Amino acid sequence: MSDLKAIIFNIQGFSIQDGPGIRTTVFFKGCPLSCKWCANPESQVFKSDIIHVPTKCTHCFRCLSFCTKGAVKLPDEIGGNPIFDHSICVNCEDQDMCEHSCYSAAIEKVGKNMTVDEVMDILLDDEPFFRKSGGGVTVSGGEPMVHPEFVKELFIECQDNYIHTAMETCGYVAWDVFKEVLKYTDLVLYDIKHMDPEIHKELTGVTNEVILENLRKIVSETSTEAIIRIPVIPGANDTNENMHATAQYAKEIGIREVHILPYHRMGMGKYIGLGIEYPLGESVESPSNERMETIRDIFRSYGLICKIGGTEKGDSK
Amino acid sequence: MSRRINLNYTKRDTLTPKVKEAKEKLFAAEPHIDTRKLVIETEIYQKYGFTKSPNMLKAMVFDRLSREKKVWVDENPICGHLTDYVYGSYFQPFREFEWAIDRDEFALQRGSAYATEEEKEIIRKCGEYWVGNAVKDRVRPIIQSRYGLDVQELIDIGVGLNFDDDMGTTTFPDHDTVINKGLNYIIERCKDYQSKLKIWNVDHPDPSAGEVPKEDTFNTAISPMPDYKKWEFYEACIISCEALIHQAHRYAEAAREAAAVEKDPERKAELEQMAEACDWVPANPARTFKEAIQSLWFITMGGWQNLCMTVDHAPLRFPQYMYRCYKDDIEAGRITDDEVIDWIQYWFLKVNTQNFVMSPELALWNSSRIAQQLTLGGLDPKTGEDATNELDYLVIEAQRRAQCPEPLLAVMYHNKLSHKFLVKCAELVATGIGQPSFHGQEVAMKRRLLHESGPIEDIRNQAVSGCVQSVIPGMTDGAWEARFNMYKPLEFMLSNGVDIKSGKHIGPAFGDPCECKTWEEFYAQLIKYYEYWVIICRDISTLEWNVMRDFPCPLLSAVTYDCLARGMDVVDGGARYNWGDGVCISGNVDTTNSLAAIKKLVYDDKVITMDQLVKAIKADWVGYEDIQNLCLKAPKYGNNDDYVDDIGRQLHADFAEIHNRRPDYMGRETITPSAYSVTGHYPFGMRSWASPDGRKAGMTFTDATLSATPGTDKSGPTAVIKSAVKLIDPVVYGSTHFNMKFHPTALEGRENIDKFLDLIKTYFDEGGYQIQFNCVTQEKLLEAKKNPEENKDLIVRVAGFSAYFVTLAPPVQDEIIERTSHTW
Repeated sequence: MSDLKAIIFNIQGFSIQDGPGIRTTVFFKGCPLSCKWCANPESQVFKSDIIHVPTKCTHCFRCLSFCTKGAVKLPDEIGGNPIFDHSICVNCEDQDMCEHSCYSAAIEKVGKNMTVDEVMDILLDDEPFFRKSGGGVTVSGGEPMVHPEFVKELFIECQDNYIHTAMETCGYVAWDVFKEVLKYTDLVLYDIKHMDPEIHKELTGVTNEVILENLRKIVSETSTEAIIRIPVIPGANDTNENMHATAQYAKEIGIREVHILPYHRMGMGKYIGLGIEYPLGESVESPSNERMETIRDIFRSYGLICKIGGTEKGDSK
Repeated sequence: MSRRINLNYTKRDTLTPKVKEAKEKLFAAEPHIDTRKLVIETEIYQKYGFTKSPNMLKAMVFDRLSREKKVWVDENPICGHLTDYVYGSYFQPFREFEWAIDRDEFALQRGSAYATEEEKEIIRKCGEYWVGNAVKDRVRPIIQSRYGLDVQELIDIGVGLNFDDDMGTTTFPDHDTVINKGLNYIIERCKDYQSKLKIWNVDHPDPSAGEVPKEDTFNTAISPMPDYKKWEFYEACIISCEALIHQAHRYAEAAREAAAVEKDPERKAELEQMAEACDWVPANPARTFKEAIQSLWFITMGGWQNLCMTVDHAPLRFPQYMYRCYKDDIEAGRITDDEVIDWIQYWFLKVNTQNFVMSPELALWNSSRIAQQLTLGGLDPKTGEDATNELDYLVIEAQRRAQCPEPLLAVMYHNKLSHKFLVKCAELVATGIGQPSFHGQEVAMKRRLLHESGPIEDIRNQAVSGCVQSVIPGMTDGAWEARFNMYKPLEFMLSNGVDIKSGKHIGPAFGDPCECKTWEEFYAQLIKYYEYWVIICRDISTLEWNVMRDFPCPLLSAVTYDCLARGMDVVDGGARYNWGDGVCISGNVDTTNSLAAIKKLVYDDKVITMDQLVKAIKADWVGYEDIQNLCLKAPKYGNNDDYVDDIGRQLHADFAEIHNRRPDYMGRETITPSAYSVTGHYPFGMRSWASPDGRKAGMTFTDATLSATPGTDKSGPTAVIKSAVKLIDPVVYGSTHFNMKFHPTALEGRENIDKFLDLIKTYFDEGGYQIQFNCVTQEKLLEAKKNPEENKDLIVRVAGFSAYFVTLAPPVQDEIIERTSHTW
């Protein structure tokens, strides 16, 4: 076994949104994209970081006395939260100490360097649930493909234990690297954010040519099953025009199934903890059920299987 | 228990050259009978028969055999040969012996041995002592006088089998203690117990004498031993253990001698290592995996030298008791997984030298098997977690490459087994070897709890034993009773007490079946025949076992709990648990189908009369082909048809109730009927007349006890499985036996293997107990029958065991060819 390591920020058991059956999802840290609506902003940076949860903070400022880097500062007003300079924190080797310094567990270290073995030990705990439910393991992020070697080894181990493997990916990765990992991937849940390259760049920081081309190749050149996932973000990509374009593209390359995920604001709190501004703005609301159904029907009109949220029952059209 | 299985072996499909050579040599070895033990046994029994206890006699025979038998080392790095030959066996003259006199050819498991004139003379001379004094000769007059029945005649007309030809002290030894504590520990215990006996109290033995041992708290023996007998028992145990240690030391000496003259430095080192191992084990706890294997083989070989017989001293939960040494060696870097596989294979080869001389009668129903069951999977006794470890995988891998008929790999199936492990099992099944078989842990535990009390650690510790039964290793005795032809009472019912083939009146006659106006009347009258014949078979068996108590086995009693604590041999009820393996049925599916045909055609649809049916059967259907046709088309078991399955379930429930009216030979209530066929379906079929399911006289019955009659299961594998879980209640019965045949294409590729495993899983979820598979094409079998020389290697699943196809009797071969083959 190699001593390959990757930064994992969470391993979540009983994941029921990330593929068939009961699954365990491994969240990798680090993402080449920076989507404005990202629900896991703590996963974007490639390094481990600390996150401060204001609701738990008792304002004892013990953290301040423990920090040797001068990264924590007193608030400007009485009753305010300690202010963290994350540009220092991400490079700090004493994050563990920082976490332990907080009696009320308001400081969390996100991201842990783990070996494939360590991750496997956790995954195998739930093997009976995978077996019974037809579930398995999903890698997510961040972007799992920023750790291609690690994911490949992990998936080889999974397949050796007859565990179904799924990958949630943005697809922004060189094909040569991608295809090596796909050999051991049973299912990809493939994010398509926008069909227009320019708008895509505006929303995520990168253009979409590589992403679209990669999915085309997955369908035509590999035996990996692919499902398109579209986060429906009001005002960003939720136009009928974009949905028609996506459906057209999906149909053309031979995709059978599309999941549309309504935007939610649950990640907003994390931005505060990380001390960054919420880029999408706080006014954007989740799309209505009616709107989601309209979009679903657009995809169905192309003969695609389409589910809202990926777990909608009774849909096999 | 860690869930993580760390394996690290080279991927290959073939044996290493050294193992291959050893295997080829072994399987080419000529079968021999060995008269050495016969001579020793005869001399000792003649000389001391009246002055020593049975235990002491046995110990003395083993002691002398250990000193006198030929010892040598060969290319197999595990030392020890059962007899003076590579593939040879001893006689068991105390059971029955007249069949052996003046015989030229003797059936062993893998072919025949031919006696020299000199050997024939020895057999004749020793025979003068045994013939007339064997167990059989003592039992049969009692049965004759009590019931007016000739046991031999009951065998000849096919009522039962195995009354006296295959009985003896089967044990399930505690390998864990032998390997991990050593025989010196046992000897110390014997001496300790001996020192606490009140030996002055001979005339009025005091049952409460001596310290009541702490571990003797479960299922107290029915009749305690007097102390002076205990003394002799312990003495016999000590002599036997020391004899085996002495024999091991002789092997050490032989290896050292060979090393002294060996030129090749590699082989020299190996021989020295062999010598060192034999010096140390089985007296002391094994220090390495290799020593553990050597120790295991010594205790097994010693057991077989004391008493060789089918199912005796099987390896049981090998991956459990070998794990300490394996883990230590791997962690210390003393051994690699590749070497472990090699050594497991060397040990497999040793297991395949175990064999016994069969009487012609025994060869009919028990050919080709020694039933050395090795249990994989199962639960950890203490925690109740999945017990699977690295060795479970390595044993499967070793067998996948070695393809040996024995040991028989058997999985104790439970829901916590990992998918990875089950896939490995399925891949082994797909090679066609018919292993592993699958047994339900849950049913085995329920069965044990139904009959006995004991701590949960014992109840969880289930191993597959015999063909398809289960035991708690190291704590269970091994009495088993006769085989019973389930069809014969129905034949007597239809003919009003006559064996149709011979025309003789045998046993009771309860009236003309044509007088029965309703199905209920018919069935009630049939039950009377069962009540008579089942009890007869049970009585013969229990009487046999009581006489068999004169032929104990001190070596293996010494390594079975609680024999030492009680000061009793296993045959006297010293073991903590009773195997409880009662009369064993076969021909039951044919009987079920026959009853369904009778109910349907005669009583429900009234298309024929009982009179017509009886006439047609007596004529073996000749001139009554239309009636035979109706019978063949009547509902058949194996199609999930409640009409026939319900009749069968009722019959088996009634049979079990009748069976359990008698306790076992020790007066214990813990006895259950058993249901597996071995190859008994062949002689029973041969000796039974035409049956109402449309079968012709003399045709082989359906194999196993839950398989469908070939060609009658027309609704696919799921229907057979649904029928199978209905027919016999495996908690009430001590076993069930279910054979399925799959075309090899049904197990190709990952998806098919998953489906196959889902099928097994569903069977166990529905309450099934045992299932096993054949996976060879019909063409391949036909080819092998035609050209046996070129297909010597082909192994098939017969009944509760696997065997080389070409060593089987032709009717059994035909039966296997005819079994319905499933695909998806």
